[in-house]
Amino acid sequence: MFNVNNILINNGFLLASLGFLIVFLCIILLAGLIFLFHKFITSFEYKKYIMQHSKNDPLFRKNSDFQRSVLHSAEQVRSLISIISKDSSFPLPKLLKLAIERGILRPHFTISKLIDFKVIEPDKKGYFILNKDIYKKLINYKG
Amino acid sequence: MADSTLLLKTMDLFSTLSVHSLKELSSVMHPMSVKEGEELISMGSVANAFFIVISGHYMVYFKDGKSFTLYKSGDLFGWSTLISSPYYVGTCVALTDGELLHITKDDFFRIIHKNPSISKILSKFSEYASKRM
Repeated sequence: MFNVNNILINNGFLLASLGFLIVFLCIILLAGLIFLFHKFITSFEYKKYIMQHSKNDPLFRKNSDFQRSVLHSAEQVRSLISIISKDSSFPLPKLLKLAIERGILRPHFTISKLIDFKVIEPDKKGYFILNKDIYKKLINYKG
Repeated sequence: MADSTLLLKTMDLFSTLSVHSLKELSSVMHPMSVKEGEELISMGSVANAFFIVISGHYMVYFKDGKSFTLYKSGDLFGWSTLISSPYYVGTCVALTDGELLHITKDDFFRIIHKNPSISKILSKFSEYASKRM
């Protein structure tokens, strides 16, 4: 019953190879799933962790009142930028210092909001520029 | 503590470390809350700690007026601690309230001494610093 002839006649080696291949592929598939599951769990936990830490961050609450306050800040800061720089780029620390000196309400947070809204953007050379297009959009914002 | 390990695990800087190394590293990380306008490190002062951003918005500026802002979880500042300079080369101010992980230079190098496999991240710190400067 188990002699070599019977194995050859009934494609025994082929079936054995096929069985081996199926088992091997299943193991690879299972290993892949376990690997991805681990990544998925990490990513899920990380997002949950970040959400917990950022839920009190005002930068995440972009409602219309917030946008109106950004508009007001943009107008104030626009005038300060024109004082400190005639060029398009300006040093951000200088803007912050001037905002403190001129008594702008919450100067640090104001500048943060404007960066967050891309009204002020880095010029990639260590300085910042006023994004005139976004500034104009804010000015035209009717809320 | 588990949270710090998880955070480190997702950061490029620490991605090559084993879970055991990450746990050791996170054991010397201290979470801290910062207030808007708070100066966290000052140019020229002794560099004795570095910081990892969890949340908040920060501005780092230098003597020549150049600056950049940090807001991504996992961003790093105070790296002078880990390179050659004994003093901070920039000043960092919090633009908003936020949370950070704080690691002292002594704790960091003590952990490296205990577990030398952690030292491989120093080259990544140098890469990170050179990109920023």
